Amino acid sequence: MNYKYYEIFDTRSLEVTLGTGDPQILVQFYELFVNHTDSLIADISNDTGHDNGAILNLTHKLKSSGKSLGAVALTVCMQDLESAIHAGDDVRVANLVQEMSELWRKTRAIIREEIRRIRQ
Amino acid sequence: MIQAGITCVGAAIFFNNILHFCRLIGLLSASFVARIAAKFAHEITAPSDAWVIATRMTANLLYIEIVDDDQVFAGLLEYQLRSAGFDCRVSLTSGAMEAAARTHPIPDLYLVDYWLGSEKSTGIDVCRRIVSEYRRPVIILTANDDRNTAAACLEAGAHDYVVKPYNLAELLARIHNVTKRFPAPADHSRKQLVVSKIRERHLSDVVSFDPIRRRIFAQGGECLDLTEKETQILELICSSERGSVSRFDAYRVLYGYDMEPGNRSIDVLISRIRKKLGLLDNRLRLITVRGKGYELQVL
Repeated sequence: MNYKYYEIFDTRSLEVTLGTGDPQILVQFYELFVNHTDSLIADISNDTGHDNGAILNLTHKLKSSGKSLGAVALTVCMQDLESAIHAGDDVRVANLVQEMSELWRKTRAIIREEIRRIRQ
Repeated sequence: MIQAGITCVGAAIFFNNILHFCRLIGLLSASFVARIAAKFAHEITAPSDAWVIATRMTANLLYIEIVDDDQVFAGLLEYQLRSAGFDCRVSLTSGAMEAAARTHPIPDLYLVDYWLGSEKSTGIDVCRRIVSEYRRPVIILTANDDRNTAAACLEAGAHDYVVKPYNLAELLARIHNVTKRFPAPADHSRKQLVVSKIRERHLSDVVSFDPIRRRIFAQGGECLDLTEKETQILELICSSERGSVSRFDAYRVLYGYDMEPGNRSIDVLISRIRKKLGLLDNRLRLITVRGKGYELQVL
């Protein structure tokens, strides 16, 4: 799980998705994504081991917004998690949830750095 | 005899040349007149930014509701659609959508997430309800790129479906197609809607304008509310590609018909906006530029 920063997060994605480089708008969406994902990640971790249906719903949400915002590695992890749930592979699900938490920690750090850069 | 014949031929050639010359002059003058006419016609009929916005505000502005429980995704989509000139609202749950339908005009089109994951009812159920109760077209957004999903969407009465991640141009084209095929009913009237391309705009380095909340605010936290008309006129100026809006265009947008000579309504509104802007940043001026109209400038 040794990703380079650009494999974790693509800082150009949001600008491309929105079609604007307006710093205020970019920061607004980054902050919304961070807050939203923080709670989703916590919910996924809590549901691990007893409610794969709920995890599936949450991963699905994270996949859509993650892709638009540029959270590349996290989106791939969500796809793998969905596949593991569909395959009924609980061990892999547990491993991927751990990987997801680690990836989110790194992704969030990059986004915060990006917000700081935009605000300067 | 021969000399007379030659003279006749010479005369014929001469008159023929004269005729060609006249035709040429005619063509040139016609072309010139046409060019002049086209120039003036363009100046007279070419829609100004304000008028384009006005048209969208009154007649053609589509009102779209996004029903998606993913707050981030719905927010991004809302921004994209507003930037493309649509008016939007977002419902994060089917309950919110139903509540909005009781208190707001029914939208021209619904964009519904197939999954609606954390909801009891899925997007398919919501789609059935919209089609049967509100009789409006539905486009389902789905991450599933398989035939079963497509069939389920169409069986539920969806007018189209788009696979996520979508290409914005494709989504817009599908929206246009669907709304063209299923226009809103004739009795579907709604009030003028404000085009909000952006949530907030910086008017100067210290003052920002929020058209959604109808206010201008300074970085220090000072905030002044705007009336609906003040918001509309300020938004017109900000949205205009020329950066300015004439009194006549502004009037037509705000009131829906042409301004009569001597009408001072716009002047009064501009004067009020000037006062408010001045309270927050005395370098920010809403000036009148001769031949252009009202324009924002930072001194």
